[in-house]
Amino acid sequence: MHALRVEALSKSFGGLQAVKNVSFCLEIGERRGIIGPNGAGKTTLFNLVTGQLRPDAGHIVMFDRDVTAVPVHQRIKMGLSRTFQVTNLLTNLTVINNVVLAIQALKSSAFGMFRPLADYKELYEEAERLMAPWGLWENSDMLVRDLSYGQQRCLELVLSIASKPKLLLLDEPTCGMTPTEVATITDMIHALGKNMAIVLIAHDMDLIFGLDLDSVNVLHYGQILAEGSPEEIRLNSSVREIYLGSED
Amino acid sequence: MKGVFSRAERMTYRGYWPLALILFVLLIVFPQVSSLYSVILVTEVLIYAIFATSLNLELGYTGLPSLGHAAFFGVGGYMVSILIVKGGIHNFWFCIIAALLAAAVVSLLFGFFAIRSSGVFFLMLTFALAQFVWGVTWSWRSLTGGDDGISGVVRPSLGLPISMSNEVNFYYLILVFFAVAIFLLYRICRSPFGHTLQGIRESEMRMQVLGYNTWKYKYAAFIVAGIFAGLAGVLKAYQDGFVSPAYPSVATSGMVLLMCLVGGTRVFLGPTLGAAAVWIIISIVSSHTEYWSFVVGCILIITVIFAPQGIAGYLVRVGGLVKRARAKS
Repeated sequence: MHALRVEALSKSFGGLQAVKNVSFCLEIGERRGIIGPNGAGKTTLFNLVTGQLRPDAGHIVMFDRDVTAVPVHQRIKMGLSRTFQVTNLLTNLTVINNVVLAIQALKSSAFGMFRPLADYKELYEEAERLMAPWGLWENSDMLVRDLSYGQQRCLELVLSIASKPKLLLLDEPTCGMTPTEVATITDMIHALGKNMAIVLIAHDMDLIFGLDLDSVNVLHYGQILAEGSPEEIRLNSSVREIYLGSED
Repeated sequence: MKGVFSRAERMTYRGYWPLALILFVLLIVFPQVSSLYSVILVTEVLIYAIFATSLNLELGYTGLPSLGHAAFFGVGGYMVSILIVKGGIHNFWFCIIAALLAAAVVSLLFGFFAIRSSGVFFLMLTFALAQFVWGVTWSWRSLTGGDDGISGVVRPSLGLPISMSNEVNFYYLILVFFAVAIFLLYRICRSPFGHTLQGIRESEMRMQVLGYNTWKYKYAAFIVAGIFAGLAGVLKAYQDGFVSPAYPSVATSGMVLLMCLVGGTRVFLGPTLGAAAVWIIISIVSSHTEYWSFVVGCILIITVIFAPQGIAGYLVRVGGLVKRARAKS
């Protein structure tokens, strides 16, 4: 069984073919990076996998089930989760409420209309467990919009793992962060369970190596240009040419 | 336990309860010390407060601006009037439950179409759907009396030895409905469901990716809001003794929207304050000049420019400043 199997996936926007005949397989627990220059179709690929976009052609198979026509929230129930490149949080709510809503998402109590949310103590205890190691618990009462950018990125990751996913898509988790903040995010990703399959979009190879990924896909103009171990990708001459540039 | 309540929520839980209690006691004592005119006026305010708070479940909590909320107010009012006047049914509980069911069915139908859209498209769709209800009340003369409306809606007897034609007795009946409706809506807003609606308001895409079927939540909110608006319509029809196409009109939809905006959509009691402010101003101004809607228009403009968070938002901010100043000294 594969965690994710993408078969001949294509998507165009008007005349622009953002994703062109992309296929790859992800084993259970495998950690894979996707690199490529801006506009290579990386985020579009994620949007197709989560179901926020419908592909023009091809299939998406999660845990041996074809989910090409399955709506977003049901894919999440099957164990999928993602972060966004552009921070996408519930900005006018408190940090704790963001996390509690994320934990509650897959519970049947989410539709409860009478008992106050604050009475569901177990949600808050779990939130504390998720938030405390990353310094978010101290700021649990703050509105998300008042958090620093680095903390918002941490929260973005915490929300995505609150549902205990089996397949996690990380869209440039360290985008625009300081080196210290990047180190925190790297620690967070290292701390994730070993059987959680991860697909990570990254701009810089440093992160790919820092995270000790199993494999890397290079995406270029919507197509997979190369696939292999991080070391193979680093040594691949055409990848260096189009993506890494010539090394002096 | 730390972090269970946000700062704003702490205010709601600890700061508001005594305030709400004082307000409620004042509302109980009020008819004993004031004129008949004021009693009737405040009865109307209580009914509009239910109406406005129900709209705010969509507007403030879910972020869906409806310009057709009067449709359900109208359905509730007409259903109870038709049952009493045309059907000769005087059982209060039967009438009210039938009217709430009618409001639920209509919001079930309308929501099915309206919830597919958001923002200004939602506004236009709800407006169009409400115009449909208005059109039916206007044109279907045999059932609705057309522009004459339906008169002769007698007040309920409830099997009590007191008469509901007495405005003070009727006031207390409405006060009970107000208290129960506001309590239920408050619990809904504080529940996991209510918080989920706020999450959808902030970022629907994020909520979907967290695993929420956001459509289902928005649809449920639309129906709950419709049922409470229907209740307000029923109570208003009992108060007025008649219904007319003004009930489901766009003017009524606009007025209840104004109540929410003036009162403040981000605080639970905001629409209640807004209902009081707007309705009292309308009543006073309209007794002096026929150009009262000009004044109401000015209020809207002033609110939007100078107090976009409404009266309640303003009070919360002032309250926060006072607290901070006290903490410093």
